[in-house]
Amino acid sequence: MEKIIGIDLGTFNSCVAIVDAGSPQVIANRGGYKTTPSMVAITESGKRIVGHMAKRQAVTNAENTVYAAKRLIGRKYDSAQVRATRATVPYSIVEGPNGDVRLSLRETLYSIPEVSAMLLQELKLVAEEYLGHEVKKAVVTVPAYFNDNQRQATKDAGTIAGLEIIRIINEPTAAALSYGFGKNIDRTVAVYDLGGGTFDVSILEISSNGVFRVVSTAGDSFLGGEDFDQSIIDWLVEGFRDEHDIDLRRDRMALQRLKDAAEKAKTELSTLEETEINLPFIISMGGNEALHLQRSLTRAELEEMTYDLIDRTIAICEHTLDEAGFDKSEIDDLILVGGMTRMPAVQRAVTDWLGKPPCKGVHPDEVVALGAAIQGAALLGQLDQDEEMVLLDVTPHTLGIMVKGGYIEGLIPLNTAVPTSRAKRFTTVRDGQTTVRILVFQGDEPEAKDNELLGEFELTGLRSAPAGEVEVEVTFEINADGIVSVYAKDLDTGKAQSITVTASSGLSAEELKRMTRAAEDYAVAQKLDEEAKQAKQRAEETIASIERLYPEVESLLAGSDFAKEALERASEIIGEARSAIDRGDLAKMKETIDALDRARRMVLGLLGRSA
Amino acid sequence: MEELIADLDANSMLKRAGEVSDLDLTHAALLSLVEGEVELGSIALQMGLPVDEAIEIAATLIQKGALVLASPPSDSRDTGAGSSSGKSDDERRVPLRESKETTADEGEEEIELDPLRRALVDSTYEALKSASLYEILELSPDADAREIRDAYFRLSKLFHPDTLYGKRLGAYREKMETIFREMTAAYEVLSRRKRRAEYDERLGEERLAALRKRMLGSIDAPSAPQKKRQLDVEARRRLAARRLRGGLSTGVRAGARSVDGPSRPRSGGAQGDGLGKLGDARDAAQALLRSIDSRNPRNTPVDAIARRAARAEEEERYEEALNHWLAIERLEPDWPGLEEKLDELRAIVTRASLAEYRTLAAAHLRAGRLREAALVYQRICTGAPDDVEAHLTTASIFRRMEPPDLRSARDYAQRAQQLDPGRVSIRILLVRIYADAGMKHNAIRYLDELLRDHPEDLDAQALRRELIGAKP
Ligand SMILES: Nc1ncnc2c1ncn2[C@@H]1O[C@H](COP(=O)(O)OP(=O)(O)OP(=O)(O)O)[C@@H](O)[C@H]1O
Ligand SMILES: [Mg+2]
Repeated sequence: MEKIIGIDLGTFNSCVAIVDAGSPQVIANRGGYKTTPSMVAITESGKRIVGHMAKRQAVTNAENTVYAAKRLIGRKYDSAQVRATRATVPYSIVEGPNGDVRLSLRETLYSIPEVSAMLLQELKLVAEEYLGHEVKKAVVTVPAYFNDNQRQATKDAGTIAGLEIIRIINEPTAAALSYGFGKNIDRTVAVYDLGGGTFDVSILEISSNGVFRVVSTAGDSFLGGEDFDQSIIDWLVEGFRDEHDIDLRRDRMALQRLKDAAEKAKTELSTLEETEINLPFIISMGGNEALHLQRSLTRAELEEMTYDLIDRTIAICEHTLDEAGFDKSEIDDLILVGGMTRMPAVQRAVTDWLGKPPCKGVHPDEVVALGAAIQGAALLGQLDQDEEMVLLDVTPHTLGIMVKGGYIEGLIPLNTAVPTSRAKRFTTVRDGQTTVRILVFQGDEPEAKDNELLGEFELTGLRSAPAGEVEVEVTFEINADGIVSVYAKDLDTGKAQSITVTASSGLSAEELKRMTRAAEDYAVAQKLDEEAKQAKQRAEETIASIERLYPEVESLLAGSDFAKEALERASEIIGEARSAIDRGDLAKMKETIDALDRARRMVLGLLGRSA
Repeated sequence: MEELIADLDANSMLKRAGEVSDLDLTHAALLSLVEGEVELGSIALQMGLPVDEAIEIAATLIQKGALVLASPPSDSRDTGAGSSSGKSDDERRVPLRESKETTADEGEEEIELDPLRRALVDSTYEALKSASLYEILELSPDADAREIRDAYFRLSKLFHPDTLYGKRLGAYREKMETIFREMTAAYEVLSRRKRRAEYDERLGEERLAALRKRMLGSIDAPSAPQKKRQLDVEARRRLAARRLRGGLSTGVRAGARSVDGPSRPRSGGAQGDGLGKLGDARDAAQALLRSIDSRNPRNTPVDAIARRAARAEEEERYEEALNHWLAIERLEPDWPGLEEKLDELRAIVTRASLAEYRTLAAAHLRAGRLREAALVYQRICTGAPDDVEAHLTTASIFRRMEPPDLRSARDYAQRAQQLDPGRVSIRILLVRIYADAGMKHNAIRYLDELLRDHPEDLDAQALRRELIGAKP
């Protein structure tokens, strides 16, 4: 049976899971951790390192270590969010060829999907090592509030990583799935997911026959633990400036250390009332002088700094519940997801809002990946019959087109169940008009400019006729991944109109192809590297074991021609192996390993022993 | 065939291979249970059949090319990977994709959907056109919140395209998506107390309006159907305008007949569509007429009824007209032309109800209520006396139900055979019915005739071996 994995590609941490013999489980990585930091770094030698290894070297290689790439995925370079991120991260963000974002790491430009692909590849590898065979398919989660561009970019990451993402599902939905899986319950649940970078809330109905229906969903794809950290960093930086008149932000290494310290303090304050932030030698003053940073922070102070963030999440919850048309009292269960929900103030705020404590026994770091794995198994028909389930999800944003005056006309309202489609007729407004231009937006603001532009296209080659006579029917479609497509049909001729598409962001087809190939090449190179390393080790070990026998052979068989000849032959082979090692010649190394083994047996034979 | 049967056992893994026609219900039912790779034993269990019988059916299906043995029994299976995954979607999508015209022209795509499920999707899709929100969810208008929720969730699991992920569904994918969309729209209205109340009110209003219009129309212009129809068009246009104003975005037309605004009641059944509501409206009309008549003692009963019957017929309310004429038959059996009138109306009424009956029958079959399904199918056959499939299905159901009604099964199978004398599957069914009824000699005689006409037919050969072998 073909295995499919579920991946929670988080801002901070990622996690991979499978359904094994009917039961969903998370797969631990090589270090034994169930989550892998979503960090990627490029080393001096141009090597990529991912996860815990990348995290460990972040301070010393801050400029070439990427974290929180998810905050940038599918966004345009000139967006407010990218601007905000540029101001706070130590790695360098530049504009890409399509108005998208690229990262400049050791003089090479990487797109965000490429960086995400490195993470996906790592998780794929974790799963493959556990399963002992290749994995080709995955279900990947995204924040419910992700728009089409962000979803598409995530899919691209899968393509680059050589993973077929057969479905993208929403993180809170996945959490609910894993919560309700196999329980046969009839419940209405609220999922509150506050992670490292994004916030989502969803209201779902779970039915005992295995149907999970999202009633409404909302969120903020730029609100998460990062912002809590940022509040602490701001407080530290300002304090330092007041005291020393120095802006720590200008030093990338200092910034990375501040970030680590802020996150650590925040996490500690979930269990402690007070904590120390201690950063000696935070900045050098020239000569042998350096300044230190040392402050203490209490839980109450942290809550004071961040209450507005928490308030924002509660306002969104309120709105979602309203959209769902439910009363607070109608919500049976509250599910908390995401590392940030360990913060006592967050738990308190949500509990107060709903008047209900959260469910126990939900692992906030693992439920999302588990849900993704369950959905994957369900789609491929790999679940037990009494556990078969269907997910009915909704689109989180209104899909619309720009009309006169720069306003949006909604075509598919938010919280519409997907898959869905709507058709709209366009007519010419001028005599002799032969083209119609259509701009497609996603978002819930009345003015077009405040929403996400998904694309624009032009219907061309229309019959020249008086205004209003030629009609074109355009079909807008949102598939189960939440991804949008548009088709057009010329009602005048009855023929399908080919529409000219202008990419507004993300990767072009050629770029995607090139990146996919590059990732493959890298994987091959890495595999060869790994093999070379192993071959070298094997060869060296064998050489050492042969050489260890020399004195014994000499003392036992001194003078015998036979022994001399054998030792000469062995030395010859060793020489060849050494030169292959020095040259890094993998094929030759492999060849000499066999020869070395034979030589070793030969020498052992001289001693009357067997291998 | 014999070898095949010998090869099969309860542990055999079966997999879909291709499409075949000409299946009887049992074969189709078995086929419908094979999704991906399935163990024969488990199918037998699900169908409540002895394993031997399941083996035999499976063997037939394998021979017809509908099934294959997935891998030798008790072998470890890690070969079947990627057998039926969908088309690889490597076409590059920039934010907006180019026209998908090609998919429509791809021509005959092999569809991986069993006949029963196809029939279910088809009939449900057809029924959508005229159904009220309640009918879409197979609910009665007084259903409570719990029932509404259960119905929606039950049906979602049946029609959501994800339940057939990766299968080639051709046009069925879109049909299922449409059904799912309509069901969701219906649920969204009916599950909210306020929206449901609004809908109920509007639905009632529309029915009443339609009724009133019909009554007035018949008084104002009793002999001018042309003009009346004109009126209907006008009224419908007005109604449409109202709906649009009530809707969200006036310019938007929902996908295939999808709901485009909140709580839009379906048409009130003014014409021959909306059969469910037609009944309601008819009842109301009769009640109204009754009350008018009781206030007007000058009418002799039969005259009044005849007038009502004529009016009903003129307005295409044939079922009502039929009821009136039946009443007349009881009061004055010698009424001139009564016989012909009754025949004519009966035919019209049954034909009009056929679509409704088919939906109903599909629902019964789905729920495993064979007896009810048989009754409905009988009516379908009355309405469609030339429909071979209907007769064949009816016969199969009669044979399969508990306890079987073999006499009816034989009658319907014989009628089917009259209609399509050459069809082997019908003749085989007849043989089986005889065999079931213990008329082995008849069965074998029929079978031999069949074999004379079709000496190569494997099913017939197998059946013969079976019948002979079953003899002590
Ligand atoms: N005990 C704790 N107290 C407070 N915050 C914590 C705690 N543990 C983890 N966090 C915070 O939770 C965040 C990470 O959460 P999580 O791993 O759920 O995010 P993610 O899934 O990677 O992000 P997202 O879902 O937004 O893409 C970080 O900001 C981290 O600092
Ligand atoms: Mg998360």
